[in-house]
Amino acid sequence: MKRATLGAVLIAYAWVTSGVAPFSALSYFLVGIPCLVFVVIYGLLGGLSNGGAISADIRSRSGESTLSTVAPWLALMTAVIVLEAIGLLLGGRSTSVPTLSTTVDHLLAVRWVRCWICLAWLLAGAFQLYQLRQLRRIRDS
Amino acid sequence: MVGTTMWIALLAAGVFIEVAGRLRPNHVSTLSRAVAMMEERVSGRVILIVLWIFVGIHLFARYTVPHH
Repeated sequence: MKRATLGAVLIAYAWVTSGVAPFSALSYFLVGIPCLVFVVIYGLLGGLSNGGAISADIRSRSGESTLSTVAPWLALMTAVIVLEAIGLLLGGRSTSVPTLSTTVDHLLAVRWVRCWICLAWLLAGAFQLYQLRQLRRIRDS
Repeated sequence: MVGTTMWIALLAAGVFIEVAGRLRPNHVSTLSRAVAMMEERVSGRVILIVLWIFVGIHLFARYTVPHH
């Protein structure tokens, strides 16, 4: 019941946020609220403290990851940064090499797509808080 | 067009790496494990939070609807 309510609130919030004109004070306000809530709760859960316990809990989640096993992701990130830099050097609105945001802007033209992307963004933040809360529960029990 | 194709190729590469990570976990990390590795340090967590906030502001407060 709690999850269903939270899900409904997030969907409603994403729908309202996606309907507000960009570069307006209201759009900054609506994006700012979840950012502020996230940072406050994350801090309260100890995510911003330098405590070794949280880091150790997170380390257990990363498994046997080493620099070599995450190398493909690092290579992908490098490719993203290089392509973005080329796009920006070409003016940012180049049709041959657009930046990532210019490419994504085409998706953002439709409100319901914007709503889904906004919901995914909110869920990514909520999932981080949920995971941190679970780690705290395991550690405290 | 070339650039857009490259973005799609990079997205496909990400999916490929994720699948490889699930099939061969000892050789390739999945995205969640790679992110968890980054989160081990406070600085890594702060970078991820700043990135999340940047994405939110950039996509939902500062987007530009292209003219067709």
